[in-house]
Amino acid sequence: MIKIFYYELHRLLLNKLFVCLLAVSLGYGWLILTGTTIQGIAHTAPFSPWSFGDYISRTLPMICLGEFFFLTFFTSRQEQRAEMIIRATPVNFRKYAAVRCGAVLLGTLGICLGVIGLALGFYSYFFKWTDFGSLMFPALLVLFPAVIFCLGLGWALGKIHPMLVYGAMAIPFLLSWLLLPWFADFSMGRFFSEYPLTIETLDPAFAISVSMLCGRLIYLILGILFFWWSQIRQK
Amino acid sequence: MSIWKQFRLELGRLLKNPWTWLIIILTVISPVVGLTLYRPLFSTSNMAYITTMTGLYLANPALAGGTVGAVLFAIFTLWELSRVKRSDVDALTDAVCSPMTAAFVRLAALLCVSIVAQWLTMLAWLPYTINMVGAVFDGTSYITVYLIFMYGALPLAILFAAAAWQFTQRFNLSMVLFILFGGLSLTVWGQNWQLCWLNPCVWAVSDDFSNRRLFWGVAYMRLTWLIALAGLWGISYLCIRRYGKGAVGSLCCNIRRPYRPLLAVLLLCCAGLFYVKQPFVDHSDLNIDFNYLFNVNYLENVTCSGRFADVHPNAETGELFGRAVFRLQNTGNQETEVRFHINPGYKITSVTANGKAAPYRLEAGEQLNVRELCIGLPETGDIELSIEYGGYPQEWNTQATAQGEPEISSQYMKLENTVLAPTPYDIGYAGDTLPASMDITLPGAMTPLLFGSGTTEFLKENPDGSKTWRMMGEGYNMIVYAGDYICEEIDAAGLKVNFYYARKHQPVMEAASAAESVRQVIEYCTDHYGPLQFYGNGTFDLIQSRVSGGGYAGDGASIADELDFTARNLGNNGKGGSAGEVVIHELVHQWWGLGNMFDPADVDGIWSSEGLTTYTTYRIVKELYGEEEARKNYVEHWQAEVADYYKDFYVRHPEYLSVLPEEYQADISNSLRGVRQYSEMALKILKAEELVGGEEAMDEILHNLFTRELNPEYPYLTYQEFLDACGLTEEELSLD
Repeated sequence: MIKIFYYELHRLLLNKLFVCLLAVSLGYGWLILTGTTIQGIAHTAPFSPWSFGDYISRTLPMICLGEFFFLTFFTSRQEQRAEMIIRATPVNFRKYAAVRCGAVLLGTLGICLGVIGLALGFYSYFFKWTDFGSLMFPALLVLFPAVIFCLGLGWALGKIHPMLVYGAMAIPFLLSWLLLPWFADFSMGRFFSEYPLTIETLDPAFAISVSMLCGRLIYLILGILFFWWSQIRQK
Repeated sequence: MSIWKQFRLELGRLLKNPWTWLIIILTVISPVVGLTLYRPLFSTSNMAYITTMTGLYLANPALAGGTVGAVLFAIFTLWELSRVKRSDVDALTDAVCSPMTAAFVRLAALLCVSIVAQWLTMLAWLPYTINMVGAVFDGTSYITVYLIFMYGALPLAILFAAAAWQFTQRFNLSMVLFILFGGLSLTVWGQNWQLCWLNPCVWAVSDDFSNRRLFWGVAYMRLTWLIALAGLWGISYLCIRRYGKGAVGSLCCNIRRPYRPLLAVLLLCCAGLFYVKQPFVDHSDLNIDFNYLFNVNYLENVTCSGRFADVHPNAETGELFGRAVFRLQNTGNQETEVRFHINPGYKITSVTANGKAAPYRLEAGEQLNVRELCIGLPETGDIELSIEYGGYPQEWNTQATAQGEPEISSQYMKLENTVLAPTPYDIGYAGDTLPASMDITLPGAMTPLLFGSGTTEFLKENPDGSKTWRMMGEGYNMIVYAGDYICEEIDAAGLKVNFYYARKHQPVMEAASAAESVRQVIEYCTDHYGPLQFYGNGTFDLIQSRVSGGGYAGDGASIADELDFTARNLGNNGKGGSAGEVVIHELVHQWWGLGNMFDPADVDGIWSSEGLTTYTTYRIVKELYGEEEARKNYVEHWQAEVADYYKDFYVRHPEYLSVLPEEYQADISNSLRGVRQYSEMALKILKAEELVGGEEAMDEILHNLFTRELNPEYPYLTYQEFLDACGLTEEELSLD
């Protein structure tokens, strides 16, 4: 399985599509950093966890878009045809699916790291600020549930019909765009830009409410459920 | 099978396909996005979405339709082009007909489908638009807006998607490339009017006047992209896979007919030429130096005693040609080089001094939307210098994303300063003032309005139906508005106000009693601060201009943007059921804010005309619409803005601002300056009002300041003078 994993990863990363997606995400990230983040979000420093979280939340739809494109590698019609042959082999199909999802996750992680690295470089170059440890929690909070949700959703839809993955690409944009309650906000954009204003003090330390945490957990669980459902359905 | 027959078969097949009709229906519906979710036109108000009626119900839907339609057609194009490969029948179809011909035929059929979708969209939205736009609806604008703003995007998307497919032969990679191309337009290229192919830079669309310059600008951008993408498609056409070969192998086969690559390269070169040689926007230095205008070293030996211009704007082509004559005195007894400013779009056809050709050259650089024209004057004492010039006037590049001026059409003209005629740069007046006259020839239906002091008289009617008007004024500069205006005379506080507005807008103005609001404002200001004494003849012009994002005031005239008079704005009960408060603001600038009241060189300080004007606007709104309305819309708004300002990270930590590169520092400082001038200053004046004993005491102080004896050496009203008049110190007005 390790060999298959490396092979799938190789397919994903050494690909024009990955390079394009990375370039698009970095270009988009740079625009956000120099246009919005540099101003500071909710009166906080541009390098505060709030401003950084806002930056990540704005790039999130683009990252998810990349993830869906990675998924098209494994849900296309050609792949479905090849599946018939693979099923004839003694490979454990659940493990095989998990390996492929792992490859997609690692590809998406590559884009995430690119986007995060860009922001860290921006902070150290423009503000000579390098205390990056405080930024990891907001990044994980935004990215992890969202990426798992999209992976599960995309995988499940792709197994129903390959074209549905393309339709699903609009979902992260819609979920980020719609004025949902804070806890249901997919990208957490409104949380980062509005929550600090409700705290009386200036430059508040990063904090998250229980309802918000529950919202992220729900996205995470939904992603896992989608994936699980697609595996059961395929069986 | 002939290509025509193939085309008919392909088009017929597409039109029988339910997916085609789904795309068409979605495209027809797509303008609805522009009514709610995606409204790219600028809003002049933070409290509600305010733009013109045409902008709201026509331009926004058309722009949204263009964006959504482009995405839909790109997906549809990729879906259709990949169909043969998806079904694994490409080897069979290639054996039946040439893949080169098939690619061409498919592209043509897809373009035809997009035309069908566009016409159905226009038909479907016509009744709604007529109903919503109301009295200012114009059929020609309807068709133009939909064709340029919406349809312009569809063939571009189809061409790009088709080219991407022909290069890559992969659906997902082509989609990524299209997303990259569209994403660039929506983000990085969004502020570059020549590159944002998907979302053109449309700032506002006029209801009452023409939009020719705006339409031409967007059409030019789309045409440039059309040629470029046709060239790109031509290159990709060479990569169509043949004989089982890859992209490079197929390219080598297809390139054997040299006209194919030549045509593609020619198209790409044409697009490049279109991009570089665009006629709409100048190339002024982006490092703006206002000292260039304010600190002029005038020539000691050359003066000017008179100026005449004969100006002929061409309403058909948007160009302007003219002849300017200056009476100069060269007392230095030597040849001298003098400098003039002209619009960067103009060319000089001849320069004569006392009837003889004079040497001249146009400087290469441009600054502040002017170009320098250097002319060698002979040593003769009295010189009649004649300059013939003309061309298509260019806008300042800082305004490139909000194009629309100078508009020259048969419905509306706005001609300012160097657009009308060259102006001397380093030549002083021979006397205290400079008599100036200008003959301007306009289409017969147009009424010219000279902004500021001066007179306009009808001179003659020409055989072609045009009319020549003579304008008499002072100084090197003139500003002329022309259009199908009607004039409503308002008597207010002993002043005769000529309220000029578009004939097309008459029903809306009358229904909203806009003239009554104007009268109320003038009476209030005259009563509280004193009459506008420096307008000798006791008249004052209020001119409705084409949408430009605000107004300005000066020398007996105020410009009020048509946005202030849209039916939606005038009917906004939240503003007290009267004309927009921007009109009040601009009218108040007649009292606070003319060039001779605040030092124009002090652009960075908090003390400007805006603080006093905003405060006075608040007082008028309080009197007209009640204390609650004024407190909510003004005082609370200022307090919130100022509180935000003091909390701003860079205000609290200026050391972080200073480490940023200059361009970012400037952006952040500029965004904060407006709050200081409009809100912080107004709040300080309100605090001063409380400290001096209330509104009456403040009115008395402001009255005295307005009618004070001016120091001719420095006629400006300073912050210190204001503080002295209040008997306060700067510290006492601190808002901490």
